[in-house]
Amino acid sequence: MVVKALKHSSIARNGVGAYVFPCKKIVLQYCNWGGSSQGMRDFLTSKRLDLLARKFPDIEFNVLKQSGHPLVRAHYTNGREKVICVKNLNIDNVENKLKLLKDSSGEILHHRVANDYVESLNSSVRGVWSPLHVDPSARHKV
Amino acid sequence: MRLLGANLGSLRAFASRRSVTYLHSGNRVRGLKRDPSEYLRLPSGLLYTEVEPSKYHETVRSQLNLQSHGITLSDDVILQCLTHKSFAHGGKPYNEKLALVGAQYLKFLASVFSLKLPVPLSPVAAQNTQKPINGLNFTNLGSQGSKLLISKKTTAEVIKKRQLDSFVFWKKRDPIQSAAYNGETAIYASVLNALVGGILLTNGPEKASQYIQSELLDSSKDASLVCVASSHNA
Amino acid sequence: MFKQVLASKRLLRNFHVATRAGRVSLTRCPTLYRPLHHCSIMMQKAPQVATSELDRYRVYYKQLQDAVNEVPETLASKSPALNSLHSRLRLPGSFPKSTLARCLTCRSSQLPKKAVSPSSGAAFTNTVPTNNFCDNHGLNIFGKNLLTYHVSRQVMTQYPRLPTVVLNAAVDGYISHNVLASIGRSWGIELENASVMDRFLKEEPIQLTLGRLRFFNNSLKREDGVELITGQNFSEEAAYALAVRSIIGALWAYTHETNPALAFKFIDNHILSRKLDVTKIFQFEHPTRELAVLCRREGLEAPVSRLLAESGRLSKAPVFIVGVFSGSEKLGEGFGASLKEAKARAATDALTKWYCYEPVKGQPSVIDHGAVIV
Repeated sequence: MVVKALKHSSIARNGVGAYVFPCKKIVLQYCNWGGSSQGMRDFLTSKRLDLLARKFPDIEFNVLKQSGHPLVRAHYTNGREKVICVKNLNIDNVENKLKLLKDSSGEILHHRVANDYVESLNSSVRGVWSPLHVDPSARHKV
Repeated sequence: MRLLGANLGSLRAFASRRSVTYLHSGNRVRGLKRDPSEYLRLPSGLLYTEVEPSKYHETVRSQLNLQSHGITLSDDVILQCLTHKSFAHGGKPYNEKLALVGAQYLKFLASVFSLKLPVPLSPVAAQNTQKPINGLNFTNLGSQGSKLLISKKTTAEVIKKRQLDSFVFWKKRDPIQSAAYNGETAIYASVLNALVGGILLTNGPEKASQYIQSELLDSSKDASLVCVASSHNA
Repeated sequence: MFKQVLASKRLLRNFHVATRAGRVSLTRCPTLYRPLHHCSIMMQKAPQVATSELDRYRVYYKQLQDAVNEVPETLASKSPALNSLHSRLRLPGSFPKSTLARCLTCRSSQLPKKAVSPSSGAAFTNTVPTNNFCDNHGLNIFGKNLLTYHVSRQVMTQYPRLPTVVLNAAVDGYISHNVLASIGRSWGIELENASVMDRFLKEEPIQLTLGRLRFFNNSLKREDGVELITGQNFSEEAAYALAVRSIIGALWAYTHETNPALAFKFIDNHILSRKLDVTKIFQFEHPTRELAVLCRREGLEAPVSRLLAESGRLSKAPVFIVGVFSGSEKLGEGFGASLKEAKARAATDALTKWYCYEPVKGQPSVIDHGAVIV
């Protein structure tokens, strides 16, 4: 007849306390022969990947040779992955796509409408207005 | 307040509320309030509400060697640490949560102690030895010896060796039965854990760990966990 | 990071070989997979069946076993996964990569002898049998002690009045094995999912497996649709939790002399920073009675419930607001569709406010008297 406990798990808040970079692995896939991989091949042979890998030690970079169009495939800590096909793109565009994936949180993109600009686990600081807590003289009578 | 003999009970009148409370003593009768001076008394005769600081708290402090380590524990906390939940149906401050945090702290410090021992605490099979990390012996963890260090049997023995067992406020499940049936070991173990927890929460982790290392985890002291555990092991 | 790229380039070259090798073996004898592997498991007993391919597999297998048995730092620091995990967790430089690899080896990864027999379906193993010298068994025990102590002390300092069951549930909400498993996943630890045979055929470098979580052969379920060994100790979640606890334990082991607060700070940052609403954990059975006992124990006047506001008493959907008072102090307030419901909610509110009391910073520690027993 005393208080009982319900099972409850804590919810992760990345960035409150420690921040773990969401993008954990990027695989750059290219073809040695296909013309659509020219930009990707240029990117891989330039110094850019090396600089990027130096700057972001949190991310594991893999290079994969496979026939077909070149792809940039990013794996995230939430278990999802995002893929961008970079066929026929030049070296700058390939790098931009890579950076786009690197900066993504890994969540599905969705359109935000006016009422869900803020996403929070905390309840409202202001509280919820209640008609029953206004002054009795001004209260609406049913 | 007592008007008549113990068997007749006592009457208490509150002039302001014009009510009369009858406090029953003697055999339990369902629905009647019991006289506090009866259920707050240990079989040894010690009354919870009338413990004398010079006799009770000072003895506890000196038995635990608190002064020499610069540890201050207030009278209330000491009494709470030595009161089990079973006493007075949980109506007085009891040691359950202090024992919980104290047990975990003791477990942590005991595992640090066994990590720092270069020799195995108890013999382990050759295929179960673990590679040391930074000079810490990870083979000892989870072995029989390290478990014995903080087992209920050992911690209860320490309380008995320090002669604090007669100070503990608790209620037996059945006074006629043996100590094992009443769970005496668990009660005394909780008292030591609660004292550790009380020291940790009021004096902070630095002082607490220093105290435990030199008082409870020092093999040269007779009433320490290490000594008691090794005598159990032998 | 140059090393990572180097390693990746090596992988790329190997992948080319791998696909070729895979194709060759498939076209040559597609049914060779299983018998070939069986031979390999019993290779110590029957070396005479060896072919040149089998010899190479045996060498690979031995190398793998040696690498996991006694993780060399030179090999571990070549693993891209270990390097990026080390950097992602901001581990100090004194924490070697080989220990990180050790944290990812669970004791269950050495297969039980029974499971290796081909009849039970464990034909494709992901892990190699190793000795106990370099697994996370001891690290996990220590990490668990460290975590339970620190988390319960922090929770107790923040909410000194929580009843014991709720305190335990709150601590579980931070460090139960499924929560630790989700932390492990969010750190980007990956499982070793490919069998040794697959890795051999791909000619995957040995160090890549060092960066993945190795536990009881998890291909069984996938390959055969049969769950051979059930129980928590062999599950994926348990393996993740073991790895997380071991990393915390190892972090303490490397920094306790130089910076003793670091491991505790790490726990604060990664685990105690998670959101847990303790008021959601409570479940009261008799809130009004419990509140009455609490008031008596604390020497307050007996609680009285009073109707504060109401709407539509005679309608289908009435609303009542009830406050519970002790003397002139208001202890709590609740709403409800009936007076009884509102009264119970008000008592629950008052009790929650009592139990979830948080002392302000700088206040001396509060020692609670224990929960009320009705």
